[in-house]
Amino acid sequence: MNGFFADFGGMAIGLLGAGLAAGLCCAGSSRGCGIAGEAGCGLLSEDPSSFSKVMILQVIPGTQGLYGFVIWFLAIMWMGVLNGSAVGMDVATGLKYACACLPMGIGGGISAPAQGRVAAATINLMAKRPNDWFKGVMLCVVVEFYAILSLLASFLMLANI
Amino acid sequence: MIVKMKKLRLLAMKPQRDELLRQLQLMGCVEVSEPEKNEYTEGLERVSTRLAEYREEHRELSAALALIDRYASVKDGMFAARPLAGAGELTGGDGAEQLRLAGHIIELDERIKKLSAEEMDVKNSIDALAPWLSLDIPLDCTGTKSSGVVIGSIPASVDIQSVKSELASQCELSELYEISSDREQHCVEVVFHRSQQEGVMAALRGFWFSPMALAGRPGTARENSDRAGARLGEIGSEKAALAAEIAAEKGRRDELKLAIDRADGLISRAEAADRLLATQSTVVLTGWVPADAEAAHGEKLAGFDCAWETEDPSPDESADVPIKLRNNVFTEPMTALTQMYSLPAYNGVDPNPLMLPFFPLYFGIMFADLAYGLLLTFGGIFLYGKTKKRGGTMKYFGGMMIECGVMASIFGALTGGFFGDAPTQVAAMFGIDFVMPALIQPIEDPLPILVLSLVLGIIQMLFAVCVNGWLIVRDGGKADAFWEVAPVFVVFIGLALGALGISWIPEIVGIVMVVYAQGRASESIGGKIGNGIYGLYSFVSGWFGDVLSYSRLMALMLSGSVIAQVFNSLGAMGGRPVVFVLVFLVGHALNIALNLIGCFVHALRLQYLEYFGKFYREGGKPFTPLAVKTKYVDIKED
Repeated sequence: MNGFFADFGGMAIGLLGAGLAAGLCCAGSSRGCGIAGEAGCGLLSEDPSSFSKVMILQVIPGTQGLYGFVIWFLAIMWMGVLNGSAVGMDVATGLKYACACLPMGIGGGISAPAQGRVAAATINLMAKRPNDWFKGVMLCVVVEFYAILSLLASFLMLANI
Repeated sequence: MIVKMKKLRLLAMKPQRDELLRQLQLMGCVEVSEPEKNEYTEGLERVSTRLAEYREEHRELSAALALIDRYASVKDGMFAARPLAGAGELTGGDGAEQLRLAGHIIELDERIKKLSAEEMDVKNSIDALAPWLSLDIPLDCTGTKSSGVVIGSIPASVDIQSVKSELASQCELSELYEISSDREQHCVEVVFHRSQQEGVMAALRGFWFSPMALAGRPGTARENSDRAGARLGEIGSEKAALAAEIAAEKGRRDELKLAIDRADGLISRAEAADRLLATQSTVVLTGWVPADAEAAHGEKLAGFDCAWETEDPSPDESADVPIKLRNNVFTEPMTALTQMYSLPAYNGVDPNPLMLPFFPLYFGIMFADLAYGLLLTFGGIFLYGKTKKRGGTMKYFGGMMIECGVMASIFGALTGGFFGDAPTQVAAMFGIDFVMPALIQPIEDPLPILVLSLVLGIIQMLFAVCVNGWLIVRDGGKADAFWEVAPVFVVFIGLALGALGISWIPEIVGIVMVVYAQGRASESIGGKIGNGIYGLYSFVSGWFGDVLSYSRLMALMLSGSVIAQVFNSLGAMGGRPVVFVLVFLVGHALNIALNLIGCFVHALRLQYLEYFGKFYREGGKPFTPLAVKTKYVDIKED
């Protein structure tokens, strides 16, 4: 048992962290895109010509999933999972990787649904004022900033382990 | 800069009104405002105009153009060349010929609509006849002298055998024939002796029998159906002929476009005429004219029997003065940002030149990639070239893209970014070691970028403080300007001296100055101290937050290059060039789109919040002169 932990414990904990970064962000993004998509269908039933704008609004909360994926990828690459050198990583190092992934998982997972709600509200705004679409996009991007900060927090920690 | 405006009052003869307005429209430098209410204009009335009529004409012409576009399936691209027309052509002529054409096209479309409605009816009747096609008696047949016949349907849920046996037991001189059956109904024909008509009908009613809707038409069902089919064919060809007739007019689209823009000009003139006051034989116009256009304006008016005067707006009127911004080719693109926020007040300052070094610089720092920057620059050159003549927001954005793209290319070169680390990855695929030369390595050492961001922020905000001071001096408040500007500088210089270990005394002086400046407006000594201390608190927390806000410059620079690098390494992982190219294209397209919006919004936010907050006076109304404005045609230089 001890031998097993020595060989795989660190790597497993690191993978858990990396997995959470990707999983939580993707879960958040799917919720965010879902909220925006529902609102979008409502508008499209009245005005099919606004499809491209609605689609852009729907994919905005999808970026957190991408950021989570980026952190996941960097984590497993730097841990050495891709070339097999992660086997035998000690538990302390594994924990460092896991902790470094946390900001992305939490920040991305929570900010995406929040951004989805802004996107949905923008779609409602478009129904009344089609020309103010870009203002809504700008409001969505304000939420995006905090996902970017989470990405950077995770990235800078990962890069300096 | 904000163009100086003069208030214009003009008295002209009523018969010359329309020609005068036309000349003003051609010059395009007078905004006609709502009439003043004072003792001179009391009792004067507005003149009636043909505004509603022109709007109707405009609507008809636009509808006709849309119909031609629809039936001829033509669509003008966003940057398609527009027909050219002289300004004289756009303001003169009557356009009666085009109105006739529009009326004709709308009438043709009405006929197509009627035919479509008929087509619907005919199709429905063919559907209704389908179950009856095997019935061999005419639909209007009601029987002979002694026998009667009815046709109709019974719901499918009723068993047809039970109907037959019921009929046979109740009225033996009757016979039911089943014509057809489907999921919804049995179509039946019942023949009976006239003496038993009542009984038969009563029995059938018991089975929810309903007579056929089309009964009573001459001819059999088959004949009726064939007739309807033939009519359908006729309708189809008639509709096609009408549609072709409309589509055939597509050669006259340009003519219609010109007529629409001319009608638009007539509407603006009528709207202006609506704002005039009149006596029996004269009209009064009040409005605004840019001070530098006054001479040209006077020359034009010399040909009319009119009297006019201009005067500088009084300070109380400054809220009513319309705002026109004049900029050079470099500062003009920033107009799009100013308009998105709010135009400056007449006693404020034009923010376009003040944003110029900062906005593209910030965008460049955040977007920082040589390849991305070049793409943006070329995109901007394309957009600018296409919209140069037309002007407007798209042209501003084109210019802005060029300025931002150049800055992004510079910072991309400084940080060694070309599609992220694509050159390194591609070289590695061929077994070569290569790294782009770079002055700064943002990913390895982000600290210098952070310091640069904060320092730029401090510079921009100190500049804003100076602009504010200058505005206060211009309004005659030298002492106020001193107390607005000096404490800020003393605090920052003191901070620098203290941090360098020279002396903290200047910093203490600065803090005392801030407390005095913030509290100086209060009456009592207690109020001065209280407001001063509170002011110091807001000063420190405000500046602290504002300066830190500029750290977003570093954050977005890093996030953009990190994502670009991840896509490159994802693509390069298998070592297969095809996979690399695919991942590269999709990944970088996504990253560019994300970063474009992100960098734009964050560079903009720094202007609006941190920068404008310190000096900007907003709330101006845009200057909208009576001028030739076009939607469909470009104006030819005469």
